[in-house]
Amino acid sequence: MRNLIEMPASSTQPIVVGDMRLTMVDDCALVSVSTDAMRTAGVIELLSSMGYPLPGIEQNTGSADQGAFWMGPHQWMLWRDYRSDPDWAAEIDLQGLAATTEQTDAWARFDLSGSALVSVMERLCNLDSARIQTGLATRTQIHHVGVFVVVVDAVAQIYVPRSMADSLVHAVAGAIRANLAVA
Amino acid sequence: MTRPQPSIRFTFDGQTYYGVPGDTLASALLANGVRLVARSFKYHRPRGIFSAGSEEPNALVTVHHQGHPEPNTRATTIELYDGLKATSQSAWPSLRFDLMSVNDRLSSMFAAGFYYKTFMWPAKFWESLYEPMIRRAAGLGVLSTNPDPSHYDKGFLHCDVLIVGGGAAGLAAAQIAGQKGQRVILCDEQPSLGGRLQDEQDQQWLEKAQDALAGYSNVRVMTRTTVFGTFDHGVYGAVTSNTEHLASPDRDAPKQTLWKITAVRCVLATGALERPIAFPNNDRPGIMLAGALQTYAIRHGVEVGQRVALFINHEQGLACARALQAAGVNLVAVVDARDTPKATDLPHFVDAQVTNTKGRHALKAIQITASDGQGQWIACDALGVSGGWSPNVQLTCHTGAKPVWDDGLNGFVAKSLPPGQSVIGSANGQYALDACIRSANECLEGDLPLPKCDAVDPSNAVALFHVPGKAPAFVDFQNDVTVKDVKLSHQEGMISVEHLKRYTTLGMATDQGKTANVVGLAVMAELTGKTIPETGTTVFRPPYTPVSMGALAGRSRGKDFKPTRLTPSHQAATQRGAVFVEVGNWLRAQWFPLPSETQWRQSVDREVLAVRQSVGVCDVTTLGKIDVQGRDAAEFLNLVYANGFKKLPVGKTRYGLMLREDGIAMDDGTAARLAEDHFVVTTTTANAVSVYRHMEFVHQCLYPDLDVHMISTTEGWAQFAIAGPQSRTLVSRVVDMDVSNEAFEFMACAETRLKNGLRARLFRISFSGELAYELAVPARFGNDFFNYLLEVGQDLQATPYGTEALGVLRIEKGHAAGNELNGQATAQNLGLGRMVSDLKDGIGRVASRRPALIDDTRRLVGFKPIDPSQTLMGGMHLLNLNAKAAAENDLGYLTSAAFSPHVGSSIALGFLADAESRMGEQLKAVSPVDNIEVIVEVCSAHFVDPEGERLRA
Repeated sequence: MRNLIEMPASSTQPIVVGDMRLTMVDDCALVSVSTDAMRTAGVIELLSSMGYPLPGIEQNTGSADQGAFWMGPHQWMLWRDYRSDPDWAAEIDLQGLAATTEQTDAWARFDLSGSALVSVMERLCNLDSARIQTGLATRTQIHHVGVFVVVVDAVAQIYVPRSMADSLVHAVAGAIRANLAVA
Repeated sequence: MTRPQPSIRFTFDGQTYYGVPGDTLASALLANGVRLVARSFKYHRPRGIFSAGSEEPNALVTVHHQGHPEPNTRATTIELYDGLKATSQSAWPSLRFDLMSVNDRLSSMFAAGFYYKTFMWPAKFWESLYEPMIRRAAGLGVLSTNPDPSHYDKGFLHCDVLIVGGGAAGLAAAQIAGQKGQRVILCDEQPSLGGRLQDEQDQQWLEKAQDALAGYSNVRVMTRTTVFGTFDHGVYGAVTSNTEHLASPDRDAPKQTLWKITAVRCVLATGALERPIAFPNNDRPGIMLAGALQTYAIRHGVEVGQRVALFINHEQGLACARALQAAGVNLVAVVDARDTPKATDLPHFVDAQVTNTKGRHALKAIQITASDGQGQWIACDALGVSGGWSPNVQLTCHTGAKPVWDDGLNGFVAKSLPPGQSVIGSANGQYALDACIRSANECLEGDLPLPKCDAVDPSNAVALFHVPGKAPAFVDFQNDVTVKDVKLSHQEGMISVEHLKRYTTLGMATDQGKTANVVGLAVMAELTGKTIPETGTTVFRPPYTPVSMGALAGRSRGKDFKPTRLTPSHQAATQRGAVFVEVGNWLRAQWFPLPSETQWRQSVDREVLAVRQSVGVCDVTTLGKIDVQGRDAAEFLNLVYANGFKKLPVGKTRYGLMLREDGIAMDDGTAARLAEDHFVVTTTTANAVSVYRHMEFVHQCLYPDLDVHMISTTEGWAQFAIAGPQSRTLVSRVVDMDVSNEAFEFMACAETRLKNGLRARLFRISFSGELAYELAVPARFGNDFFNYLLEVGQDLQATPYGTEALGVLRIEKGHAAGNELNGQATAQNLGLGRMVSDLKDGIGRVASRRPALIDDTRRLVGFKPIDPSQTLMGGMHLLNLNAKAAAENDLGYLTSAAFSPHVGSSIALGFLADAESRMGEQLKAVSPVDNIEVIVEVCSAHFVDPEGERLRA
């Protein structure tokens, strides 16, 4: 059997307008981690030893390549590159301390960057602009789509359900162009 | 009075004029000597420009922006740009010669409520004749039926302090909050800051304030932005006009942006609106608010008249007169209703009133009558009226508060305020510049220095709202409501102000009575012998000024009205020419027509037969998938499903029925046990979200102690139904495992790999009644996998099939789906009563045993027409052959119907009372709406393989 060809979640990107850039990051593996109050400390210790220190509420810890963001009470998402080990997310073992679920293809990640990041985000989601800083991880809505916004090094990582990636790109592109036109 | 050389070209009613930068359409028309700009709503009386702001009731025009007509736009808020094209409205054949002005001659017939009394019979004439006739004779501009070519945008802002209004008080408040380092948003509806300070000769304080604000990076100034509504939790709605003042806007620039502003606190510095006085013939072009005269003279350098008069009742009116005189306006009379010492520097008529006016298309003279009854006519071509000021309290009232009357101020002021809201400056009755700044200092604990001002006592006024007389005295200019109308409505029993409003339409339409409400209330109070506080006010609701539907929609219009969800094989389906159908937000392939097929049934029948005879492939990714893990996962599923799941072995899948708490069937699906503590639950496409929400509710609220973790994986896996007698052969070609009946029996499940090593999940479940599998791969590979399955199954006649064939297949098999799970059906109705286990507890179990549900004898059965050429439709009702089509004879209804290529006729599923005892009986299925009646035979819901041998093969 031949190898199957990957289909990008959206083929309408990257969007580049001025110095604003929206790019899909498909080399991104995701795994969700869910535990309870009793086992949280153990999970934090274990994942920290694996290179994933877990963040607090509405926070993320990580770099562009690898990290973790908070999703809800006792729930996090871990991310790292996908292609070097496509099975990583499916096989990660937390020794019964937490439930893990592969989420790699459940979400499409788009990185939004540029000097007008804050004013573009103001046109997209009800997120206090003062909070759009490295370390943020929050759940919000863009164009009626529930998304995660994770800010790392002045880049907003937007995680959108994969099936709605084109709709997200369309919305972000519209906001970038509108912002530039009225700036 | 200085005015630059006019350089901006514009047209009004086809006539070309020129204006200057900074002009509004109103100021430019006045500068060009155009007085008559509109006809009134009902009587088609000539009307001119009445104000200089968003409160304008008269000068509504249609602006043709970018070729699209925008009716009912206030000339006083339209910024002039080169090429602007505006036309008058509500006049025929022309503004100057309007045949509909006959209404004015017949005005005695058209008093308030006339059409309620006149057009009472015959009732059927109302919609066909009377209403179109009234709408033609009265009304405002006409909407274009073409789509608005402009685009709009939306956004969200957050701040510590939202300041509404950029006049003296707002500017002071912004400086104070800015100094304190707070995040400030300052909004003003006008293109420049300053409010009425722009109408003063002395601009020193304004310039300093603007310079100071420019130094604060934490203060965001938003001009051309109207805060139109106060909502709960410190949320305010605002609209910014981005391009309406531009001749050639950027193509990407949204015309308007709707902002949702969340503010920790809000300071309203919305100023006050000047109030007119209702006197006979007070609506002629040339009569306007005194403050508007000042705006046009000082801000725009426009000489509104050669001979100008004022009619005032308060001290501030004299200040206005002096400002006009200083600006070079030729004042011929200042008619002052107060019995006050005569000002020596003005043509001051004290203790007098304007009692009538002359001039058909523009004001020519006013009649001044002293308190002793002596009258005189004075020639003048402009009259400024000021009956006092009404604090602009609308935004304080949008969440339900009512303002209170202040006798000293002769106006309503806010008393109770929404949380986090304050009112300062003129909006709170503190009118002078120093009073505005003092109120900002007090509100925000600031210490801005107070400038030296001439003291004006706002209480030095007489309450004067209307002047008696025979000619019509207009209270509400926009709705043509006169003092007489208010009287009449009172005589006819409209005691409450709310009734007055609705009977006369006072305070309605685009200006929402900004200049009319208080005068109307005052007249009403006088008639009832009550005070104004006793009379009360009507309710202010958002929006403060009209908000276009486009702005409310923002980017969500046309095909972007909602997000679209694409299945993993969307591209492959498109390439195969699939016809798509919207299923919620999903686009699913409905069928895949071949070039030789000209009619959809040909494609669907072919796809159904391919599944029955060989193998078909269908993208079923849209079905909800919920990953359920935890030590108590099995116990949890045992609770949320009506049937048992605790003993389901690992590697097996079970069909499950979920009930709502009230015992009605909620959803059906499967749960596959991948490990002792790991299940994958599937739901119908329609209920993917509601089932997940229900399961979270059950876990978080009912059984929080269970160790269960849930997350949706619907999007993560591309899942394909592979169905038909050849499905095993096809699956065995791609999956790296033994899929023989012995190794992988009906309802088995496994985490596995494809032959190329890719991770996959395999389920042996069937929705068609055929031998079938569902095979899932990571979503990014779904598109190519769909192609690959069809490629590798070519010799098996592997056929892609869509939702239409999927529906036919499940109806043939008698599977319930959304049409049957309609929120009213019980497990018993569905023929699944035995699935509700009494051996365990489960959500909805007890309620499902209610007598009302237990006694319902309707069951899901099949139907086929006696005449195979006849067509059945979902929704048809079932009756005995000789029964009349009436509700009392109803035996049930059809839920799903399709043409079955397997049976060779139309078939249907439906709920039928006492179904078991009616098998083989003939009934009639009727649709009185379509006038269709079909004789049907009651049969088993399983039209295909009733014993289930195929799917277990």
